[in-house]
Amino acid sequence: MPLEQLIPILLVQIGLVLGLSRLMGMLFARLQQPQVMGEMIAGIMLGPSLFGLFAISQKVFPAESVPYLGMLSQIGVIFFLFLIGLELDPKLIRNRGHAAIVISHASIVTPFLLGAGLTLYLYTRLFNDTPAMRFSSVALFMGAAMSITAFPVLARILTERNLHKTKIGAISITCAAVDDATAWCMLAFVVGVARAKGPHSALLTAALSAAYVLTMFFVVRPFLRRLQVVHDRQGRLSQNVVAIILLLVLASAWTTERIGIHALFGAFLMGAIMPKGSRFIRSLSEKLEDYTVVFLLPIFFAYTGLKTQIGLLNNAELWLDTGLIILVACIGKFGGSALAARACGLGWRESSAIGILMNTRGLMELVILNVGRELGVITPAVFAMMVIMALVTTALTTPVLHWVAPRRLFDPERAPAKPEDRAKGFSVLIPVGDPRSGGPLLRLADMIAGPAPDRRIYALNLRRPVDRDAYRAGLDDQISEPEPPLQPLLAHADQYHIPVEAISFVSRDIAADVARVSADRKVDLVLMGFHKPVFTRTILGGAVHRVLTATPADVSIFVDRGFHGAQRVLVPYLGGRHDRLALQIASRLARHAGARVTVLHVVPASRGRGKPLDAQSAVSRVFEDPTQPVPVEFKVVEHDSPVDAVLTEATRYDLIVVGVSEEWGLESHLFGLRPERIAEGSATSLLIVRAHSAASVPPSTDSAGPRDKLAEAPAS
Amino acid sequence: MSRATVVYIIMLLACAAGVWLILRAGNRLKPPPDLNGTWEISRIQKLGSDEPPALGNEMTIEQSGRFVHIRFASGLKLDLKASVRDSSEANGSVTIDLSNGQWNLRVRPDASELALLIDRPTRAAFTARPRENDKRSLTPNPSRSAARHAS
Repeated sequence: MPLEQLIPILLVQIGLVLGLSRLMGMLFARLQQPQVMGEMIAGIMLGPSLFGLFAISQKVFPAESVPYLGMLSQIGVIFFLFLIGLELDPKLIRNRGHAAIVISHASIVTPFLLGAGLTLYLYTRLFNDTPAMRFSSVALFMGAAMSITAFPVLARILTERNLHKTKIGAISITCAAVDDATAWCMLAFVVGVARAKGPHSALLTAALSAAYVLTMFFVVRPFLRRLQVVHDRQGRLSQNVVAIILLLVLASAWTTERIGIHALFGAFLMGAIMPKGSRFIRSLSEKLEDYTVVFLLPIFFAYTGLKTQIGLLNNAELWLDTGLIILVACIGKFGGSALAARACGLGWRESSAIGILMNTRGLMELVILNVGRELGVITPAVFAMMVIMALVTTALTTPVLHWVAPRRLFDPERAPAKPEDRAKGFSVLIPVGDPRSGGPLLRLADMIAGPAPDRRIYALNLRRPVDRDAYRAGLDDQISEPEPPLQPLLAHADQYHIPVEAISFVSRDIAADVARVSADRKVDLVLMGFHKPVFTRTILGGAVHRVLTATPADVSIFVDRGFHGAQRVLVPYLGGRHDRLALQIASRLARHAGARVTVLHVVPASRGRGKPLDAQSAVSRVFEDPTQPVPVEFKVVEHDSPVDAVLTEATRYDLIVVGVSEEWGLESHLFGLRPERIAEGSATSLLIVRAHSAASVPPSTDSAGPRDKLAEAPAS
Repeated sequence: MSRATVVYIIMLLACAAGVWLILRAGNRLKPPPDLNGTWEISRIQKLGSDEPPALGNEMTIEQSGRFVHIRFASGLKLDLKASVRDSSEANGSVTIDLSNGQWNLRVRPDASELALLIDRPTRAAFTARPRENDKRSLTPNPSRSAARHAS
């Protein structure tokens, strides 16, 4: 196929691969699975197992183009392995104690022996009589493939579940690091054995490998330290330094490929010998990671998918063999790790959690399987079986871990609050995404909550999981600084002596976690800033809509238009449920911050003034508490457009507190293009409030619900 | 020597011993001959009264051990299970029976071609040679044959 025809096809292929892998990654993240699971499934979907069943696949992935995709995927894996080596810090292994070392060794030896042992049964069933499939090569390869653990996937699961600062997390990440390093050395050995043409060739490979490793440690490593010094002196990573490092990665990979122990080992070792714990590594990793992980790895998954023929497993016997492979893989990795952990004195639950985590194989298994396929050590059916094993063991990790190690026991941040940690007085939860919104939100929360000693203000920072954080999961335990998004808020709290409890953890579903924390802490009001959704024009769309509908508490969204205080507050009032909540919040502002509140009751001009008496008495009930009455102005205007009436009035106020309702043009929708005129047209800061409806969310177990506390506001 | 060191040495020795035992046992095993590849079909002979099945002039074999998938140029696809019979220990030649209940084929590979005999559904025989650009050797793996005979 000529190049001018090939390039457009390659561009379409890469676009399809990237799009589908991101889509599936997001879908699997929603299913509480590692994103990489979705990306791996996307690759398989593009192959003969699904997309290949349709005739169009021949046009999108013609056979002539696949080798080019294969080359790109190989480059991707080489740089990915370099990144893995780069993130492998000896600190992970040092000072982790006896248990981690014993468990890591057991978690390699047991699956290796079981994998090699399983070959005794599978060899005459699933392998062919070829020079590459000698029993020794096959058995060693199956052992190595069974003993792999996906360090990056495991690190990400630990970070997402906030387990990385626990004993389980520390041991698992250490074991995964040891397993990773050992697995690539084993792979180099297996490749050497498989490619050796005789004893002389094997000896030569061994001698050259030893010379290569010594050169890397005693020649290349000191040179890399000098590069680090250059970087530190310049204060930045120059393009020349990046080019030198990329050249060294390629040279290292080329050398190991020529020696006969595979290019991947060279890339991994190059990363592993880089000076660790420095800004130099972080800068380099940041430069390479996105391109490698977002662009090149999905191509590798697609290439793997194109080579995976699940259709070859077309009878019950082959599926039974697949089940056997999965069973042996799980027994070896889970059993070996869990029993070793138990022998080291850990409890059954902790030991099982470690075993489950170590059983995560993820994309590292795919890397090793592709090496086996290229070498001809495994047949296409065994390749498909092992890919299924990798998917199953990775997919099992999160749900089984959830069952064996529930968050309430192992996640200190997400554990349900103890009764003494829950607020007895009025409580406000402030989810902070944008650091700039922290100060104004805290000031407003302080005014609403009032000076009562038993009131509580929680500042919540939910971090999106980031791969880079995940890789460093095992090294982060010494970091105890507050999260950057909370820093302005906490600085404000210090300055004005406002007691705040900070909560911070990694979240894959921000809306669900806001709802969970508010339910767990039994907060009365969630006060959040306004962030324009990506796909809608509305303030109340996207994630805000999900928070509004899922949170078992009243929710308010603050639209800051230069808020400096709440001296004059306007409450548009038509009598709905959410309007009544707006009245209650305004009455709190009046009591605690001395705000002068004006309630604006709009009646249609066409119908005349009618009877505003009901509205006025409702307002009076909220404001005229006999123990602590506050002045309120009740104003009735005639206007056919309530929104225009409010906008006309708004200019003279510091804050508008308005309930969500159709009349005010404020209704929450997940997606929508309806302009929220009251928000768009007002130059005054806005607090949009939505009263919690017990019918829309699971009932609270607490007898005194948030509604009751707000209704009791005047007495507080 | 600390207890931990002793444990590691024992673990290492156990692993080495286990691998040695597995390799020793495994080297006696012999997987089915490799039939993978694309083959040119020639000399189809009718052996019974019925017409031989339409096969075309080429067949592609995808084999994973005993599980064999054959695609003929005529469009016929067969999923078959192989069982290997040693027909002559002395010269190392083997016969492979391929069957799926409806089809029975007997394959005898030699150094340059495959001799195939169809028993069911109709009786016919043909030979197949590796396609020119499909480099392969049909000779049995010498190292394994030697090991088998040694054992």
